[in-house]
Amino acid sequence: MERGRLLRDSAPDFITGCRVDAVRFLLVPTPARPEQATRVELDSINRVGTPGLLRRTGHPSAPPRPDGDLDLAAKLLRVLSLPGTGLPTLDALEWPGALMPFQEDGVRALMGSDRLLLADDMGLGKTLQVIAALRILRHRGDVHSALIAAPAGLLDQWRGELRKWAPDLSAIIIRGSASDRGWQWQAETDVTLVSYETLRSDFEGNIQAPVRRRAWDVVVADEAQRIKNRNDTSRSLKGLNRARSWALTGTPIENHEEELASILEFVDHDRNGQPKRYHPGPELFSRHRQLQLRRRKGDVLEDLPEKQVTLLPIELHAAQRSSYDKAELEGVVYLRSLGRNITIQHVLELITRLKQICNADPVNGESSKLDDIKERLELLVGQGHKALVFSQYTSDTSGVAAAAGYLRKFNPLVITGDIPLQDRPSIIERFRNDAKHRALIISLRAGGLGLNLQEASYVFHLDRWWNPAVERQAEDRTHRMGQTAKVNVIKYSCTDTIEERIDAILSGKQELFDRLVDDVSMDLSSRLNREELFGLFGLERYA
Amino acid sequence: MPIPFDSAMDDETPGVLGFLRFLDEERGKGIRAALFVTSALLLPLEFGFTRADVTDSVLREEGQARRVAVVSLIRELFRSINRTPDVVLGLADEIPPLVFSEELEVEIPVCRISIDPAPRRGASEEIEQLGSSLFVVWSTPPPGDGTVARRLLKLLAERPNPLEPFDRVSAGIAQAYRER
Repeated sequence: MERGRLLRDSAPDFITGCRVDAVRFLLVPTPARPEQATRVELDSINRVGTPGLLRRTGHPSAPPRPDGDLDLAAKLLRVLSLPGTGLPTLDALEWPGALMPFQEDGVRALMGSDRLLLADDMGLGKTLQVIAALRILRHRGDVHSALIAAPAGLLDQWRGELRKWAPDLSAIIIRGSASDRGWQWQAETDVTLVSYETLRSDFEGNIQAPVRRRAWDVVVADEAQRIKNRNDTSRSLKGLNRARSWALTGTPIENHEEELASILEFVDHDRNGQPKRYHPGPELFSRHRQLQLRRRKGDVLEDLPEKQVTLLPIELHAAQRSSYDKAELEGVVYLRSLGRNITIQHVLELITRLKQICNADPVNGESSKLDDIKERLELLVGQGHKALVFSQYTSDTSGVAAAAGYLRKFNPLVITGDIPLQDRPSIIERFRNDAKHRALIISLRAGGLGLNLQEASYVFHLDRWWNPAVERQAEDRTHRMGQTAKVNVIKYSCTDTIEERIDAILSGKQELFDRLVDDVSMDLSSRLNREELFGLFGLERYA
Repeated sequence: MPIPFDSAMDDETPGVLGFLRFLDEERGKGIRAALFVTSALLLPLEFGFTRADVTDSVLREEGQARRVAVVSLIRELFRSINRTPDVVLGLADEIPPLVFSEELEVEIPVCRISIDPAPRRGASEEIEQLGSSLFVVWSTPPPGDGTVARRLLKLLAERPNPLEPFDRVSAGIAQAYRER
C-alpha cells in the first residue's frame, strides 16, 4: 500500500505462503446509459492498453494464467457489481416467501455463472433458485430467452413454481401435436419448458428446427441425470445454441464416472460451438470441482427433522415361503439345465421372480410385508400420520396394485406410469388435502422425482431397488424443506431369501462407494460381477 | 503496473471504501478472507482474496490461532491492493477486538461494525451509533467531522441495507474459491 501501509506490525507471522489474488476493475463513463453515469467494465482493460487484469502478490514467480484469470475476474465482477450498478438484486424484487441464505447464495452463483452444475441435495429448492436467478437476470436485461428441459412429469410443476415465484415472466410448455409445437417454439416467451423427449424429437432430423435456430440465453437441464448417457436426448441438449448452461441434479453420478462426464459436456459448453468431450480422469474431476455447487441438507437445514432408515428383516408367511422355495428350486434347476448357455439375464429374471414372491404370494396373495405395513398404518393413522409406499412393480399380484388392494381401508391413492401426467397433480392435491387418504402408493420410477410430499412422514419400500440413489430420491419426496416431522423409512428384507443375500453384497459395496464418491451413489446392479450374481444361487460361472 | 483510472462520478463523489470479510471454511480449519475496495457509490474497484489455515497449538491460548490467522490475512490483503481506502470496515463478529490497535497499526480509519448495540470490543475501543441501526467500534481514532471517511460512512448508513456490501464480499469469496 502507499498511504495506508502498515506502520507497525508486531505480530509474528506464523502463517506463510498466504497468496493473495487481487482483481482490479475500472470505472468508465457510459454515455449510452445516462441514468448510470458510470459502470464497471472488464473490456476497458484492453481499451487502456493494460496487459493484464490480475495482479498477483506474494508469489511473483507464479506464472500468469491470463485466460483463467480473466474468466474468474469476469465472474467476480458480476457477483460484486449487482447493487452498485443499480440493477435488480434479490432484495430489490418482491418474493412470495423468504429464500434461505444458502438459496440466496445459490441464486447468486447461478447469476454469476454461465456454467454451473447445481448439485444440491434433493429437497433444497434447486427449482426455486433457478427461477429466482432467471427472474433477476430477466429484470436486468441479461436474459430474454430461457429453455428449461425437464422430465415430462415435472413440467406443470415448473410452470406452477414460475407462476408463484416469477409471475412477471411469461412461460410456455412445448407439447401437443407437431403443428402445435411448431408455433409454440416460435412464441417469444421468457421461459420455454420442454420435456427431454419432445426436445429430442423436435431437434432431430431438421436442421432448420426452431429450437436449433434460436439462440438461448440460458438452457437449464433439470434432473440432469437424464443426460448422463451420450444418446440422442443428451446430444440434442448439448447441441443447443446457448450462452449459459445450468444443470440441476442431486445425483450427478448414478452409475459410473462417464455419466458425470456427459453432464459436464453440457455444462461446460464451448461458446464457439465445439462440443467438448470429457473422460474419467484428473481433468474431469478437476473441472467437476470448479463447476459444481453442492450443498447437503445436513449442512444447511439445521431444522430439518432427521430421517431414520430401518432395514427390517421379516419372515415370509407359510404359503409365501412354500411358493418362494418352490420357485427358487425350480429356477435353480432350470438355470443349471442351461449349462453354458446361461446368461446374466437368466439370473436377473429369476431374481425378479423371487423378489415379486417376497412382495406377495402369487397363489393366495398373502404378504408378510403388506401385513406389516397394514399393522403399522393402523397405529400411525390414529396418530395423524400419512405414508408413502414405493414399489418397483405395478402388478396386482406383487406391486403397486396389490398394495392398493391390501391397504384399501386407508383409501390409498396410486401413481404409476399408467396415470396420465396431467392427472397426477390432482392426485397429489387429494393426498395432501383430503384427510381420508392416508397412503399414497407409487411406482418407484413414476414417482421418484419431482414430487413434494411433505405431508407424509413415513416411507415404506415394499421392495428394494438396485440403486440406493433411486431409493433416496423417493424418500426425499418427503424428507425435504417444509417437513416438520421426523421421517421414518422402512425397508424390508425377507429372511433367508434372495433379498437378504443381495442386501449383504450391496451394503458392502455401497459403503465403499460412499467413501469414494462423497455420498454419490452408484447403480450397484451394474457393479455386481458375474461371480456374485451366479453365486447368489450357488451356481458356478461359465466362461 | 498501475491501471489508469478515469471516472467522472468519483470526481463528484470522492472517496474509497474497503470492506473486509473473514469466513470460516465449511470443512477443515481454514479462513477465507477478502478485502473489497469500492467507490463512494459502492462500485467495485478492487477485490483481493486469500485464505489461511488455522492451526491450533498447545503453545497458544484458545482462540489465539484464529486471531493470528486473521492478522496475517489482513496484512496480506492490505498489501495486495493498489488504492488506499479512506475508511476500512469489517464486521465485529469476524475481527477480534484490538487487532488494529495491538497487532496492526494503520494510518487510515478502520472500524468493526455490527447491528448489535453491544458488540465485542476492547476496553480502549470507542463505540458510536451510525444511522438508526448500525454500531461502529473504532479500532483506530475515529475520523473527524467533515472528513471524507466520515462522509462515506454517512452515505453508507443512509442506504437501505448498509451491510449489503459485505454480502457481495461473501459472494465474491464463494465465487473465487469455486474456481479453485
